[in-house]
Amino acid sequence: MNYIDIFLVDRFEKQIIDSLGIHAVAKIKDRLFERHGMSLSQAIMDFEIFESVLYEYFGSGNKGVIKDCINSVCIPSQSENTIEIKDEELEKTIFESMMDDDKKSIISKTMKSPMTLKEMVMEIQENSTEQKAFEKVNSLITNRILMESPKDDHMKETYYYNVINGMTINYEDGIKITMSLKENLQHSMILQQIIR
Amino acid sequence: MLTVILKDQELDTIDSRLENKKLIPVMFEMEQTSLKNTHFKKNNKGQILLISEDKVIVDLVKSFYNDKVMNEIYKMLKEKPLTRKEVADETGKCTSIYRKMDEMVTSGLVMELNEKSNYRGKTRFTNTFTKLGITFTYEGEGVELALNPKIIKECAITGGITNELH
Repeated sequence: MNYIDIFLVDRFEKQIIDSLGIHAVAKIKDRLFERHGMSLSQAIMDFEIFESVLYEYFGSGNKGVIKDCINSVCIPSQSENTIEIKDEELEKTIFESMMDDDKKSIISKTMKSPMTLKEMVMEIQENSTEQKAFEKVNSLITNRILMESPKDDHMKETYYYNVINGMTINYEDGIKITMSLKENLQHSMILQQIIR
Repeated sequence: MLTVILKDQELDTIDSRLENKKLIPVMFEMEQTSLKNTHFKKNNKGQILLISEDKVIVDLVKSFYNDKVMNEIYKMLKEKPLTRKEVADETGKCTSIYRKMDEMVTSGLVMELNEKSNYRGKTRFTNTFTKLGITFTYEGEGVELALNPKIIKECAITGGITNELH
């Protein structure tokens, strides 16, 4: 399981639905479940399965569909190990999170080392109520900006971290977000499709 | 660090111009005498970037990002310099635009063009920066602002820079 994929999978799935339409995606979902017992997002994380089912419907045109959908989510730069966010909703989520001092503080801290839910809530609780702090952390988890860190046997609590190493938000012709990632883009099953 | 050639030979770096409150005059109406980790750099696109970790400048850029009216004014001035009235007429909002433009001029995001012959007798305004970027890392945040070439020209005229930027 790759963390870049966890970060991107929801948006990629949404782009697939937007691009192919609900009915076509319903057929693909049925086929995935019949053959592999998988949901669409599970199949995307195991990209070969998703690609093979897409091939049944689109033949070799499946590559073009995949490429277009990935490029609608983000544009990777392998040399710099960065992605430029293209998906408007993802862009909005990241932008709003970075403009919120509490969320930004959590994102910055978890760039360096993973934190538990309790640590994160305590970190920002000084500025707001516990309930508000929890809601903010939860929103980062729901939006997959924070994700569960791999667990060791001796770990009692769940640690959360993010895949972001750094980020630039530019305003030139509108907002443009470029994220530098901790993990190599080549490790992402989704991004491999357009950078290999 | 960039070096500038000056007519008067009194100042030899853009940074010293910054300290002398001449390069971006309006920005210094905020009375920032010492800006933290602030310098100029020329990038590979030939843009002159103002790079800063100073909280005042970072907060200024953030306030711009969070303000829809400022965004709207910025987009209009990106096309061409406009007078206050032209901006107000295009948006259809009068008082709020005038107030917001004053705010942007005071903060340094927008500058008056120091034109020799006034445009229809009115002062025109332009964006101080053509790119406003915020960079986040776990160590902190900073800004990268690309100076509008029009402004550099303006400053060169008003500040006495002969025009060579190395």
